[in-house]
Amino acid sequence: MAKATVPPTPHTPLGLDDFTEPALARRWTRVWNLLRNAAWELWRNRLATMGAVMVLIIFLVALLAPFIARYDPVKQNYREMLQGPSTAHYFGTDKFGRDIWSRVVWGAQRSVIISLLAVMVGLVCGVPLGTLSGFYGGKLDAVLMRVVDAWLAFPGILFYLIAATIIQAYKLSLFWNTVGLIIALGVAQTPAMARLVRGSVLGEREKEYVEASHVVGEGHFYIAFRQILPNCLSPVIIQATISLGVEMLVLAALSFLGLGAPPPTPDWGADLNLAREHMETLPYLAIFPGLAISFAVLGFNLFGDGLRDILDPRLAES
Amino acid sequence: MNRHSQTTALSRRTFLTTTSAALVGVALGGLAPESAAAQRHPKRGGVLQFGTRLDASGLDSHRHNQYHNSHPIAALYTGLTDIDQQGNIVPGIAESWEPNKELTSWVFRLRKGVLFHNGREVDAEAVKLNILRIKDPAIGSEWHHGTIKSIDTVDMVDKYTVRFNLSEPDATLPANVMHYPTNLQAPEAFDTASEHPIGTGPFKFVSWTRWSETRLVRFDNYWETDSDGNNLPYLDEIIGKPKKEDSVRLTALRTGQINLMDNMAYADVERFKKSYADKYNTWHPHLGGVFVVFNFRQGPFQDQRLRTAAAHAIDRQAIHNSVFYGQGDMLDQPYPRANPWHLEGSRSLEYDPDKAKSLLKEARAVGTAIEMICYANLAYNRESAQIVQEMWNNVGFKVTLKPLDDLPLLEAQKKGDFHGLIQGNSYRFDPDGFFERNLHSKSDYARSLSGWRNERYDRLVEEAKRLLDPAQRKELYTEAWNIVNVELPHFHLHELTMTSVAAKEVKGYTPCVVGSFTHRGGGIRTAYIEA
Amino acid sequence: MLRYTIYRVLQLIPVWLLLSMVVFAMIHALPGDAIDALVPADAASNPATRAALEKELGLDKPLYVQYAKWLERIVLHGDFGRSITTRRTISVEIFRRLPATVYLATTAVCVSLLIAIPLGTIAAVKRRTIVDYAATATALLGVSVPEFWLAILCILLFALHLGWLPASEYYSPFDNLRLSLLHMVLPAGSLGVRLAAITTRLTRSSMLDEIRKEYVDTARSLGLPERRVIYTYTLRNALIPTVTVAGLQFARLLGGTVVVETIFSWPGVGLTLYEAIMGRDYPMIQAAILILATTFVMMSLLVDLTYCWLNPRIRLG
Repeated sequence: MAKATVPPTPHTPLGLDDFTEPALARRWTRVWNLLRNAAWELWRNRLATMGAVMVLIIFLVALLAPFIARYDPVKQNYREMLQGPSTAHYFGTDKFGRDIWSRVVWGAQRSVIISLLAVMVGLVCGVPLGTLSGFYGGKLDAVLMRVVDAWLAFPGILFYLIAATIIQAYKLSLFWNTVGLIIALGVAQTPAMARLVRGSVLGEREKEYVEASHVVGEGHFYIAFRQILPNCLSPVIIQATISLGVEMLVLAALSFLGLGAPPPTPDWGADLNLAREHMETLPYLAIFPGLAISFAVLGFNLFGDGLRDILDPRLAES
Repeated sequence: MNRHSQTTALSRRTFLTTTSAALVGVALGGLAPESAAAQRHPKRGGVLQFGTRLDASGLDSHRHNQYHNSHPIAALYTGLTDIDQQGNIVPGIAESWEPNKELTSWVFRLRKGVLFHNGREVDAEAVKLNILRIKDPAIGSEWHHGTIKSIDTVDMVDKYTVRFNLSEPDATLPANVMHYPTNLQAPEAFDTASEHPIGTGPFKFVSWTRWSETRLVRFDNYWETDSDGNNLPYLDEIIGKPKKEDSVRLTALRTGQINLMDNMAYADVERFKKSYADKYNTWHPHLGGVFVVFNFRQGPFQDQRLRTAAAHAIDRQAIHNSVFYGQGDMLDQPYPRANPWHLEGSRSLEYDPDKAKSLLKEARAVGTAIEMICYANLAYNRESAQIVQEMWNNVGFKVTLKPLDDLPLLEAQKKGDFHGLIQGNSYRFDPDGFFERNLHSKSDYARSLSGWRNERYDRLVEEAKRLLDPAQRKELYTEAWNIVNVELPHFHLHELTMTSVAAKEVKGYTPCVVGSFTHRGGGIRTAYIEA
Repeated sequence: MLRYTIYRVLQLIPVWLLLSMVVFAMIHALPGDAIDALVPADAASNPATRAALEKELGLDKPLYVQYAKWLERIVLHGDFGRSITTRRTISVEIFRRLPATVYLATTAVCVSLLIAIPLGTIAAVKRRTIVDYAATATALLGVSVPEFWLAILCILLFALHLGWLPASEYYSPFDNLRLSLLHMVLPAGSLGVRLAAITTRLTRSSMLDEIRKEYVDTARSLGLPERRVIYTYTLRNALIPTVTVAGLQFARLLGGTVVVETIFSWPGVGLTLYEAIMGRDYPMIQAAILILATTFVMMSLLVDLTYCWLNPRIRLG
């Protein structure tokens, strides 16, 4: 990416020179240019911006759940069951008389936390694996890649199902249930992440600055993790963003298969599941949780695509 | 709900006379056995496409439950006794039976000329081999064992007469040798029962792919006939099409891909009946009930005050509205109102949340942690559990609900690894099958549920098992149930009903009022397709 | 090429062995005794029969011996044992159901390609126009909707209300092609739409890459009609990564059809695996995982080899 064209000021401690008028003017110009660049990028990638806004909304809702939910999401009241959207209940009530707006809002918190943590687990496991494999190459690479191949060959659904089986075998509390789910989701993602990183690292490895570092005598770990890896991060970030969306869909599918949150935890997938019996008659029951999921996933996808355009201009259209 | 009472209505008189008749095994007229060449009805036939919510888990009927409400494969079997459309026990392969004075041995006389699907005749030897196989611990499932546990040995008196020697006096044996679960397979085919089962029912096996398709074809030498002497069944074929997803099953019915369906989703029933009553026939058989089990083996519910509080905390109306959409009755006992075994004088606890709260305060147990388990895969069970959880939380408990799959739940039950459990029971053709099986202290099943022990209850139920007179038995059961209402090993919530629907082209079909699609003189045996 | 193929096939073997070891170890890693996982609960409760069964199943021997025997039975005899739930031979059950899943996966991938290739090409050719945005938006929407929701909505819309399609049952294409395809549309559509979303984007970007290449300008300057340039030359090259990804998607799909199979009661391996896990039928779980994973590994190899064959430059990497 082209840097600002202003010549760099000499490196001096913050002294009187930095507060001269021309110096300040140059600083402001630089900041202004950066902002203008960013705005131009955002405008060019309208979809990405939309994605970013959507992601922001979801995060905000998740964060502010306790304040914007109007009722206790698990409080039942069968006398108010299956009411349509109204001023009392923005999204209506479900078959137990619970307020759907509150459930969607708290569900956002659960979805966001689980997806984020799952992706992080995937990163924490996959990135080092891929980096080491790509960097050292040779035998280590061969062995690790075979492991990753085998890992990749297991049907994704399997990890979740097995996690659910174990969770049930030990009858774990909600907390450990969630932890187990996060680990399973993260583990399922690891091989793809590892492969991605390895590919990038293999590409970077041949570059000159790496050779230079070797010659100078820098340690392997330093070269691999402090020099090469930062340059390989763009595909990883993009993949991670899109994975966030994918994890949310997986969570919904798990609820459908009966493996989701233990009731009565507010969960988008679980609510969508409950709404199945009324799909024809009371579509609002399915629309709101469904829309929430789609909104979140779409946001992550758009944002990830946008990031791809920004970080990897090679792939962007001219 | 009125329709429901209609279908299960059974006058006291009919009940008393028929049951006594059944107990002594008087052959019902008009259904003389036929081993002569089959006489077919000239016009009736057709293919029944039966969409079910469930599918059997295996073909060997001694190992796997062949549920005659929802597994098409159950059409392969009949047993010594049978049921009629009202759920009474009537002669099946056995044309009559009678006990000795002490009720410790029963003699069953078999019909002549009843054939297995492979052509072998049903004789005393075949019956004996079947009972022995069911009792074999390596083969018969626990549930099968439980049902015929009173049978000790089997004697072949002559070619068509069998004597069952019982380990204890038992008036309920005829109900236990009905085709559910005591069905007869051909002894030569025991070893291949999991691949190609041979039974005595109106249809024989063609193929089975789990969760995909069951193909059955008419058995031409089936012994039952209609009132004109034509051989049953009329149908040429039954194709069972299991479809787990309720909306898919209903769509298949409405687009004509299937012409008979069971288990319509509770949410769809009202609307369906309003819009499509002219094109379809619907029935609402009774299936059983759902109840709360309190664990006596460990946990806070060992304290009676807590159990009483928990019972007072439950408003059945919520379950009635939210889970069942107003279908079925709120029940505090296993048998529904219209059933002859419904106990009139039973007193059970009312919904009283304030009383529950004060009981908890009194016991200084506000905030007690309760672990409740339920079935993850049965919607009515899981949803009832959620409602019960909420209500208990409202009066001061702290309930964590863990839905479990079938096997883990069974294990947890056996180990007693729960405080509260939501269970269901299927309809028991003889009340002893409920009162003893679920609550008697020596019953294995009861021990795996609440683990409750009450000597007086045991004695009442044992005595009822030795009496033939239904009125006397009923009194004993009422007294026993009153004990249950006070001690609360179980607390009944609601009735389980099902909605079964057939296209108008399916004629001659009515399910049994307690759900079975195959019963004496009806169901699929007398069904035929006429466009 | 042959050398490379052999090299890759040889690489397959350690992967498969690793797979098989993990699958084998599953049973022994669970809480409780292995015997409880391998025989029905009733049979294992009596201590005498339990000991006898353990001996019969060879559970008293050391682990590596058990593994070797298990492997031998599978590789040499194709014997996966009996299902605990249904008591039937597992290999018969699974191989009877494999065609249904393969059929579903194949049609789903075909549907996705049928949607993605035209859509992606048009989006690339007319980039930054309304068509491009519409195509992108549709593609992204396809990915953002939960599978089961889409499937049920489709059933309600197309089968019930419009009556255009039946509610789906499995018919083998060899028995009755027309009926089979008709019933295939909804399940394959539900799966295919999601795959299409990804493939559309891929087609679009690889088309864009190709269009920028030199030979395109050369062709244009030679006076060849634009349509010919795009569709005959560019598309063919741009499709290579698309087809590669499609192949991988197919391989992945073999294990990922559970949701669709559950909804449509499709008798495939995905549903079998799911039911086996729910019913804790461990021999069946092992067999299903092993078969699915093996298929995936072989399919990936096939895809890689095809890609190499189509694009000789990669081979030497």
